[in-house]
Amino acid sequence: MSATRDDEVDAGPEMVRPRATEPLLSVRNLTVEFDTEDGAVKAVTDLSYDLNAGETLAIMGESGSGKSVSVQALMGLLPTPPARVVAGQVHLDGQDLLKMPERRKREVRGAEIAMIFQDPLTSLNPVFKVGWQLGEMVRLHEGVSRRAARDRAVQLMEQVGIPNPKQRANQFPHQFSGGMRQRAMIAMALALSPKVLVADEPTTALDVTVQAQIMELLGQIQEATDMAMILITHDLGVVASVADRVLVMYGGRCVETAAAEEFYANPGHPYSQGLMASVPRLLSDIDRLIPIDGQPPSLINLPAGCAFHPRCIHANDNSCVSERPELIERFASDGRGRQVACHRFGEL
Amino acid sequence: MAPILEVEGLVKNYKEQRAFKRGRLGTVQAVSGIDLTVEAGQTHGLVGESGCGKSTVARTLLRLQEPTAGAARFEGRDLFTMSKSELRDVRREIQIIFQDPFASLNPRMTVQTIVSEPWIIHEQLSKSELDGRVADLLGRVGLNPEHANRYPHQFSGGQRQRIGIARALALEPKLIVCDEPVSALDVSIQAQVVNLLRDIQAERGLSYLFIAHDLAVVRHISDVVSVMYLGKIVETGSRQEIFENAHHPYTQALLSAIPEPDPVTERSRQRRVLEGDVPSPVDPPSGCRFRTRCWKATEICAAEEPLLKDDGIGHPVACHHPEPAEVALAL
Repeated sequence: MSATRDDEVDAGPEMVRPRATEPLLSVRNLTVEFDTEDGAVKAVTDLSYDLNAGETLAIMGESGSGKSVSVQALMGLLPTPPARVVAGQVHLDGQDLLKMPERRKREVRGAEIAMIFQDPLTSLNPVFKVGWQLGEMVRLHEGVSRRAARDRAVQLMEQVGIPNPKQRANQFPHQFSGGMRQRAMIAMALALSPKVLVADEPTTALDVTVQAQIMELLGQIQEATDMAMILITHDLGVVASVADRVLVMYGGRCVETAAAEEFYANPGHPYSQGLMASVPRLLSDIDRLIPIDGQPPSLINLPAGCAFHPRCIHANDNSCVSERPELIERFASDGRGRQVACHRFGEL
Repeated sequence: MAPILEVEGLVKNYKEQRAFKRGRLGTVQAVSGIDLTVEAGQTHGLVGESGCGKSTVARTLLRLQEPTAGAARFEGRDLFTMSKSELRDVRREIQIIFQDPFASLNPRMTVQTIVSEPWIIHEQLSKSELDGRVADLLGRVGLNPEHANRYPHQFSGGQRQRIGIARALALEPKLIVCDEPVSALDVSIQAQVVNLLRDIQAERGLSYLFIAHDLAVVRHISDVVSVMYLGKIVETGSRQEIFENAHHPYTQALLSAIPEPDPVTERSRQRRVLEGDVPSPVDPPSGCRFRTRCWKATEICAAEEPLLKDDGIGHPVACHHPEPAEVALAL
């Protein structure tokens, strides 16, 4: 009933294996634009990150920061047109996801990289039974019989903690509660034991007690399978409880990336600092929240210089307004560095 | 301090609605007899998860929906028995701010019309007087008065919520019911709106009934907090009591379920993960409604409904086995 997250404590000798030199997933210079009547929307610009097996990377940002588009691009889920992947490579185990033909992409999706979404009701087909939808996935990818697929579906549902999986497999999505639907989605995503799970706001639509159940389930699965996870969220609390690394997006770009402990102890970018100061705490009283003034920028018409400068309390009149700050390695205490895109880093 | 609002035994049942009407339709017991007091100048936070009935409380208090039973006295007058014309008068003094700033503003009205509509209904004012007042009010909630002739779609979510707040403030109410006012907003914008609500309260001494599911926001803004589960209040008390001395297992589970934005705390924190889902309000469990998910439930919990009372704990709790949280959970 109660569970502790003890990440390192039980790491026996078999858990200590040398890290492969190549990361499992490597995203380089990913740039995505949408063509609209008002011009090109630069949804994601020059985004790069690495992900190792068993690791959780949290991509944080507010609505319109490009966080969801960035993962939809690597899953090949963006409608084209209007979306265009303008540049970039996404290597999963050595193969470039963006360059492979659609047929191959279909094989890779689900089998090697799978995704769960914010709203499980719209991601399940309302006219098919949940068990059938789960089984279909297995049938298409593994070519097993209907009966075998059905059995596998029931087994998967049991694995993700859906009570009475046999009966539940015969029900339609609307007969499931929100939490159960998300479990069904997770079961579907895990059906083919992917190496990477992309979770796009998996608990945003759920109540906190159900959120705790789902995050616990994802943690257990990750521990058992060494699956890597990309977690898209705006919730600083959820990130703190599960992430190994954090990547903050603003105006379509990465403005900071760091190990989670370091990020929370010492956020480097003024936007990250602003986010920390603007959330109320559950375990302590804060006298007054310090909000970030203004609004997130429009991706059609990003401010010149640093995209955050109109809202930044530290912005100067020179470089901040005229020159876009590069994402620069600042100091490296965990071996993989912490990168911050701010002209005034170090001066403040 | 005198209470501005006293709710007693509020009940709201709905007829169950189904797309395909087969079998007997049941009764949805959305709110099943709650008592609640809002002190003048204070904020009473009402928290609970979706479906617990908290929004129904808000809507029945303003009689946007008619209550099934109970009384609600606003400065001594019962909101539930008063006539239409009395109600119209009293609505000047009680206003509501809704969750969704996209659905609660008429897309065909300019901000000027939206904000001045309460004055047009309740007061006779000249055009120039109206313009001046709208400009003042927009300025107060942090909007540019020059934007008065724009339409809601030209504003962002946070700005729209400010328009909603301006509309609620127009008649200088004494009580504002805030139904999830910040949950649709981005993190950085949430803080702006929370601060605005607090500043206005400090300036005008008004009272809030603040309904939300985000306990961190509730902790930040409330003087008194009540926790709802499946149509009933399970625990109520001062902010300090609820957040630092919670005795109801549901409150404790709720608090432990919420991750704190600090990885160091999170790694040392034990989590009480509740099993299962909230039961249907059509057929709530007998006795204590939380017993089906409670790790402490015994026979008495199924047989007898626990009353909301203070047994020397310092605040009222509705539980047969109230205990302080285990230390690891409270951390």
